[in-house]
Amino acid sequence: MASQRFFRPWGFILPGIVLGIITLVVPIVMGFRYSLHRIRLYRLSDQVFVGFQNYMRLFDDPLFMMSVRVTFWFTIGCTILAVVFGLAISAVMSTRGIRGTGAARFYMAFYLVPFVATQVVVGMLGRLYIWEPEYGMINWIIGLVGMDPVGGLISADTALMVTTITNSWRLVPLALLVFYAALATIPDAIVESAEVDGASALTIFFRIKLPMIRFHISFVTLIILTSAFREFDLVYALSGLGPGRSTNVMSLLVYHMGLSTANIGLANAISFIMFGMVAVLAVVYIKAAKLSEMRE
Amino acid sequence: MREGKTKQRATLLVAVATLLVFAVSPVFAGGAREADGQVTIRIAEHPGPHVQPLEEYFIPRYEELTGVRIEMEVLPPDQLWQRMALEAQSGSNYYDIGYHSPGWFGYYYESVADLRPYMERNNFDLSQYSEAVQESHMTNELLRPGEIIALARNPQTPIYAYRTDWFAHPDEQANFRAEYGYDLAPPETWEQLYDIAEFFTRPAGATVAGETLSEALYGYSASISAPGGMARAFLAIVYSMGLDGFDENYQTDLDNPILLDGVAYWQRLVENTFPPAAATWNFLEHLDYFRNGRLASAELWPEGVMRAEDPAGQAVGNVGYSTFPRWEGNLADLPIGRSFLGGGGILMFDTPRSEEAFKFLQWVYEENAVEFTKRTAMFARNDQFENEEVLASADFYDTFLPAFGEQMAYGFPRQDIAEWGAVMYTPVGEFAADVISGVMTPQAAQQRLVNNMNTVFREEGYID
Repeated sequence: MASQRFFRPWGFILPGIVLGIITLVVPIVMGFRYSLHRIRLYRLSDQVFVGFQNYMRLFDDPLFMMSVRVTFWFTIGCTILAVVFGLAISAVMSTRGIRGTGAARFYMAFYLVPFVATQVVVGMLGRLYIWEPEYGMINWIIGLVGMDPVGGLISADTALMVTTITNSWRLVPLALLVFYAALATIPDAIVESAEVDGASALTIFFRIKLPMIRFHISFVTLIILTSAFREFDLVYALSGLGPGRSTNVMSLLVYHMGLSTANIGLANAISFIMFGMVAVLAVVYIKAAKLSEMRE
Repeated sequence: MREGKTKQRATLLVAVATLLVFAVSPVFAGGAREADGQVTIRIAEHPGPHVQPLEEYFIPRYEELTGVRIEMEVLPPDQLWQRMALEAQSGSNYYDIGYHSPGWFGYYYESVADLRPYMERNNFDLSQYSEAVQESHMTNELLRPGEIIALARNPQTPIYAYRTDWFAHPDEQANFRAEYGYDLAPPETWEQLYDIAEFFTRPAGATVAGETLSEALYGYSASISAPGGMARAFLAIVYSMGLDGFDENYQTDLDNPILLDGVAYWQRLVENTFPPAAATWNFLEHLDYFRNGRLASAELWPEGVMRAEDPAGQAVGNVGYSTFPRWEGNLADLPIGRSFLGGGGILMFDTPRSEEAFKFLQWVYEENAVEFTKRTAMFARNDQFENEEVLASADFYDTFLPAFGEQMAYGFPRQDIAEWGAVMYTPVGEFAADVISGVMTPQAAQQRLVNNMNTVFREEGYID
C-alpha cells in the first residue's frame, strides 16, 4: 500500500518527464556535443572532436563580439519600447469612460494585428512598404513635412534602431493585452477613493495602479526580454545581417554560420552560448524580482 | 447516467472527427496520394525568367499529357541552396528536382542522382552540349567522377549593359569628352566604367539626353545585399584582377595586395554611383531600375536580359551589351574582365520518383528545348544557339549574343571542391561588405578571408 502511494504519483508525471527529456534535455545535450566537434554541413557524419576550440575561436572573433553587442542593444531596446508603450496604451484603454467602449474594442483589435500576423510577414511589410528608402511610408511622411529622407534599413547608423522599432511594434500588443487585463481587475472603488483624496491621474497611475500590477510587469518584461534575445524570423525578413552587420543578432549569426558557411560546430557553439546567456538573464531577473517582493 | 453516455458519445465523435481531419489534411495525406498511383514531382527552383513559362506553359502541358503532378517551389537564391542542403541531409526525399549551381553542388553532392544511366535508357542526346558546358555545369570530377550530375540550362557569366540612346546623345558625348578627355563608349577598363558611372549619376531635376529627370539617376549598379549578392557582384572584380582564389595545391592568392586595390575601387564605385537601395537587393533587382530609366549601365547576368528589355520598360530597344572591362595590370594578363561561370541547370535527387523526374526533364529541356529558349532567352544547347527561329524571335539577340558568347570564353570555372561556397562565395561577399561598411579595415578583412580559407583547407586535409 505504501509502495503504491509512493509509485502512483510518479506514474502520473512520468509521461511529462519523458517528454521533457526528449524535447529539452536531448537537444541541449546534442547541441553541446556538436559544439565540441568540427562538423561541416555537407558531411554531417564526419565529426572530429575539437574540445572547446569552437568557443575559443568565437571569443577571439571581433565579429562575434559585435554580434553580442548588437543582440544586447536590440534586446534592451525592444523590451523598453514594448513595455513602456504597452503600459501607456493599456493605461489609456483601461480608464473609466474608455474601457469597454466600441472605440476601445476597435483600437484593441487594431493594436493586435502585428501580434497575430506571421513575423516574416511583419518583416516583409517593414522592408517593402514601411522603411523602403524611396517609396516607403516613413520617408513619404517625412517628405510631406519637407524633411530629408532617413536611411532606414540601408544605413548602418539607423538599421538597428529601425529593426528594434519594428520588432517592438510586434511585441507591444503582448504587453498591452496582459497590462490591460491586469489594470481592468483593479477595483474602481480604490481609484475613486484616491480621486476623493485629491490624487491626480498621474499619481493614481504611478502610486496605485503600477504597484498593483508589478508582478504582471515582471512577467511581461521577462517574456519580452527572452523573446527579443532569440528573435530570428522578423530580423531575417526585415534586414538580414543589415548594412555593416548592424543587425547581425546572435540568432542570425547561428543561421549564417550553420548554413552560409556550413560550419555546424561553430553554429552550435553560438547557440549554446545564447542558451547560457538567456538562462543567466532569466535567473538573475527572477531573483531580482523575488528580492524586491521580499523587501516589500 | 444517460447524460454521461451522451457525453461519452460526443467525446468519441469529436475524436473520430479529429482523426478524419488529420487523415485528409495535405500533410498526412502525402503518402496516400502516391499510394493511389498519383505521382507527384517536387521541384526547388531559382527565380528567373524560366519560372513563368514553366508555371504557365510547360508544367500544365506536361501534367495534361502524362497525368504526373508537378509542384514547383521558387525560393530566393540564398534560401534555395540552404533548403536543398537541409532536405538532402535529412534524407527526406522531398525534392525530386532542384536548381543546379556548380558553386552549391558541394552542399548536397552525395544525394544527387547520376543522370548518365537515365540518359542512356532514354536516348538523351548529350552531344547537344558543348564540352566546355559539360565540364563546367554537368560534371564534377572531384566529387562525382565519371557521372553526369546535372543538365545545363543557362550557363552564364555577367556582361555589361548600357543605355545606347544616352551614350549616343550629342550633348552627353560632348559633356563627357569635356570632362574626362575621351569619347563616351562602353568601357574598356574598370576605371573607365567608374568614369561613366560617375558621369551619369545625377540628382532629380538634372537632365539626361535632353530630358529632365523626375527622380535621381544612377550610373551603374548590381544587386549587392550581403553576403550573397555582394559576393556575386564583387567576384567580378576579384576574377578580373586575375585572382583565382586558390590554386590546384590549395594555396590562396587572396593575400595578394591587389585585392586591396580591388576593394578600394569597389567601395568607390558602390558609394558614388550605386542606388542606396542596391544594398538590399539580392540578384537581378537592379535591372528594374535599369528598365525604368533610373540606371545608365548595369551588371547583366544574361538570364536578366528579358528584364532589361521588358517591353513595358523605358529601356527596351535602347540596351547595348558589351563584355566586362579589363582590369589594368591584372595578374593573368586578361584582355577583358571576367567573373565566375555561374547560372546553372537542373539536377535530380536520388528519390523513388527519379525515373519520372528524368522524363519531365527530358521533355522540357530536350524535346522542347527550342520552345524553352524562345520563352526564356536561356541558352545552353547547340540547337538553342543555332536555331533560326530562336534567333529571329528577339531583336536584341543581334547584339546580346555576341557579347554573351565572347564573355563566356573568359568565364572562370569554379573549382570542384565541396567547400567552394565556404571558402570563396560567402567569405568574399563578407570581405567586401565589411570593408565597405567600415566594420573592418581592408587589411584586417583580407587577413580574416585568408585565415578562413587556410583553416578550412587545413581542417579538410587539403593542406598541412
